[in-house]
Amino acid sequence: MTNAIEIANISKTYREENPGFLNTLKYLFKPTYKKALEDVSFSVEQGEIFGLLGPNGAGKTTLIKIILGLISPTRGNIKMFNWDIPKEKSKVIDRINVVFSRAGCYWNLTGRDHLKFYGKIYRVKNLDEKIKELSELFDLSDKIDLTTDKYSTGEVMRLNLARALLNDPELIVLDEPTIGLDPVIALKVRDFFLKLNKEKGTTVLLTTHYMEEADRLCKRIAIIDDGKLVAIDTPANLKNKLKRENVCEFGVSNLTGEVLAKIKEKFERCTYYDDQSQLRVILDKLEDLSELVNFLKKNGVKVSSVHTEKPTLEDAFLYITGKGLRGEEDEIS
Amino acid sequence: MRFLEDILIVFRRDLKEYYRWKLHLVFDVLFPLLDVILFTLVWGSILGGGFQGYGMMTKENYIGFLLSGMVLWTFVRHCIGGEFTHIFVEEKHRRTIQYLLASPINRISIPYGKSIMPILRATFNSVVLILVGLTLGFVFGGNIFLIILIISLTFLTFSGVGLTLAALGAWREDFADMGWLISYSLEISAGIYFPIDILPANIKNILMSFPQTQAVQAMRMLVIQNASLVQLLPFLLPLIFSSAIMIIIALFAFKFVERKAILVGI
Repeated sequence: MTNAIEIANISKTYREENPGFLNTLKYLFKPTYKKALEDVSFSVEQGEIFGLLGPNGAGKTTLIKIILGLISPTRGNIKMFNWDIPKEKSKVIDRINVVFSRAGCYWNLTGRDHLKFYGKIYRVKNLDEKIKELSELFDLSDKIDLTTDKYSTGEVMRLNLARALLNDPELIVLDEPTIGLDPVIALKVRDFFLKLNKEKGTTVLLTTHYMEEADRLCKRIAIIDDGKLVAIDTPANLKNKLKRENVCEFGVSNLTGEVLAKIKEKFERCTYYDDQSQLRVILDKLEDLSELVNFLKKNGVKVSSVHTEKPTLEDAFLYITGKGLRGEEDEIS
Repeated sequence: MRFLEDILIVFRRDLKEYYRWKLHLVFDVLFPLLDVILFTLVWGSILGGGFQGYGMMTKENYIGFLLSGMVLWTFVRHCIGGEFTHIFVEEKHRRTIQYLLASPINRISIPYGKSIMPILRATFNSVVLILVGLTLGFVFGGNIFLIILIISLTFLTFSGVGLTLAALGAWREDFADMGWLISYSLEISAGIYFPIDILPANIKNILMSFPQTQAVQAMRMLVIQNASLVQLLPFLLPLIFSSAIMIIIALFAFKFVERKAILVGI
């Protein structure tokens, strides 16, 4: 079967943008370059839900824009349903659709106007019926005839999800689709995409900050860090890179960011905590445990409990990248 | 075919946005009305006689002198001073441009589609101005086809300027904002509200070489003096030339920004 997406050795280097007029002149004569992606290769099978994970600034959005033909790679090739992108983009463009994390809207138009506009661009047949069906699906029936300036962030996102399904895409690219949605709707949206994938065989390329979402939805996940592909596997195999004894959770008090930074420096492994009372550490070997307990005590941290945990996808992500999904600063804030 | 259909789709969306916000219509009636009241009734009474004998303006034809310039200028203002230079900036701010670019829409149909609404709004503004002129007793002269020809050539020239600024604005927003500045500068230099003959001869000669001034002069010759096509040719030929040049520049600007967008994104 033809792959939905084939990415071969994609690299992207940007000429850095120039803040201010004087810098424009400086950069004109001495430009600086930034590598956004480096030699990324993978493929997404038709009918697969494929996750793309990475910390902020890892290059996920750049990769998505390259896949969609919105920007060109510096090097490498992309094929979508066996057509070269961006050269033969017109052959596949009406078979795909996209939802970006920061959803956009025409604020003076109603939800219905909005869907009609895009429906006409995609030459959707039976557009009125389709709009009715999608507005019911995304709980927008009551608001569909109101201008979108009266919509909440979640409703705007749902309207965009409805827009993205107008053309019954064979491939849908979702960039943080559940961001800003309340948990009930987010769950509904996840279920919907699972159902869509199962019933219609729609291929989904998903980026998300929610690990449970990626774990639940994706058949395979690619992890990108600093523009490089660092892992690609099923969620189960990614989690299996860690053993249960690698993941320790401590009940603690008096834990500060300063101490956490010291732990990171000493053990050179990924550490994070959700609040001041819980510290989750990924250890290379179990022998490091007693050393860590002593270290905590020495730094004035009271340890009330220690137990090992079953590795989650987030643990695997931290283990592989050494970073939280929202970047380094989140771990020690 | 797709190109034409997409132009209509974009235009229909703009039309819906126009009537969904009712104040658009109020503004479009009120602004030309207030403009014409201010300049004809107020300034006309104060200064009308003071300009006596300068160029084509006399105390008797002051209303026609102003209206002929103002009617033409509504088209220029909608091309470069209004929403037109911000068409891509606006799509960027609304975060809709990425959806348009990722869709099968014909890209060049976006600016073409978006240029229809300014034409309609300018036409509507002009009708308001003409109705005021007729109410005030001014008799418009000139061949209607020649009037449309002058308006069309002026629109082509300045929509080229507007499209250039709009395209460059997608890359650097300052270009789109410059539309306001350019519009005001052109408005002054075209002599919409005063006869440029009152200026020193060397400045007048420089201004007369600009397309905006030639367009306004041609319009006045036609409306006030009922000039023929032959008499208008010295003004029309440079206008034809400048409209062709500006459209070519605009297409280059559009292609430049399209290339830039594919390299770094917009």
